[in-house]
Amino acid sequence: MSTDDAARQLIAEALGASEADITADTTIDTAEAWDSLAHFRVVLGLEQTLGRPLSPPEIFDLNGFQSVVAILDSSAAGQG
Amino acid sequence: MVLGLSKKPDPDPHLIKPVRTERFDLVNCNRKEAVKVTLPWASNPEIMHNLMYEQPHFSQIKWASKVGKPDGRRLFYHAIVAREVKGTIGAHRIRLDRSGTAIMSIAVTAKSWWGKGVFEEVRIALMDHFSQSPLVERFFSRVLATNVSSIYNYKKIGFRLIGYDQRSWRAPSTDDVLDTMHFEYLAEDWRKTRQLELL
Repeated sequence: MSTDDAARQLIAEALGASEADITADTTIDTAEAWDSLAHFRVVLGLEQTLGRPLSPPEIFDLNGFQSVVAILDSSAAGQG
Repeated sequence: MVLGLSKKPDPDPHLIKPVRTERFDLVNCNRKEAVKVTLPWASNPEIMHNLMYEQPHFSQIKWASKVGKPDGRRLFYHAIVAREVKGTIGAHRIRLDRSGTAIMSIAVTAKSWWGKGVFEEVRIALMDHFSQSPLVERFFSRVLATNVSSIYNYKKIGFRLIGYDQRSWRAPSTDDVLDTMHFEYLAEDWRKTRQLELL
């Protein structure tokens, strides 16, 4: 599964949305379902996927699809 | 003979005015009211944890001393009263220090209101109100790095992350040592964003 697909699936599950509704432009400002509880589920999903807690800057910078992909990508790179 | 007692400052006439949002009345509390509306915090270990108190719960008497004395100038408690249910669903605290930093905390105790934008609506209204006072230079909050919902809320409103402290707070109930994050919004920037004038 590509990082984009993994991010799409993770966000869709957290927001209770269809994967088809999650695009590169999905952010906390554009997705109505991305509220504070959904955000908590996104963080939890990422931490479960990565097997580590997110750092404070990662949590703060998390604001949409692109940042989820970035976190997943950086962690994959770190596993080299 | 003149005793060296300083006179308590008078309440600020602007800051003590009532604040109303689309769904809530934010009622400025006196000390007795502040103790009453925040008492549910003192018996809720989750709230005590997220607000970083040194104990997971407090007796009513000890809590009353913790609340302090809201004076309409340096310490404010607002009951969040939902007009729809005619009831208090939480409370908001602002401590204004001498440098003009408004240190803010909020807890919504009615779980049925979680995830319904209470934080955003209440905080925006209070920041509108307080930013118009020349006494307020900036808004500040310190949040546990594990308190993801709060971090989301600060980000959504537009606060800047100005730093974080690693392993800076020990949770009394678990002994875990946790990171904290510091958020800031300058009152001048808030007024510009919200197109408000200093009163």
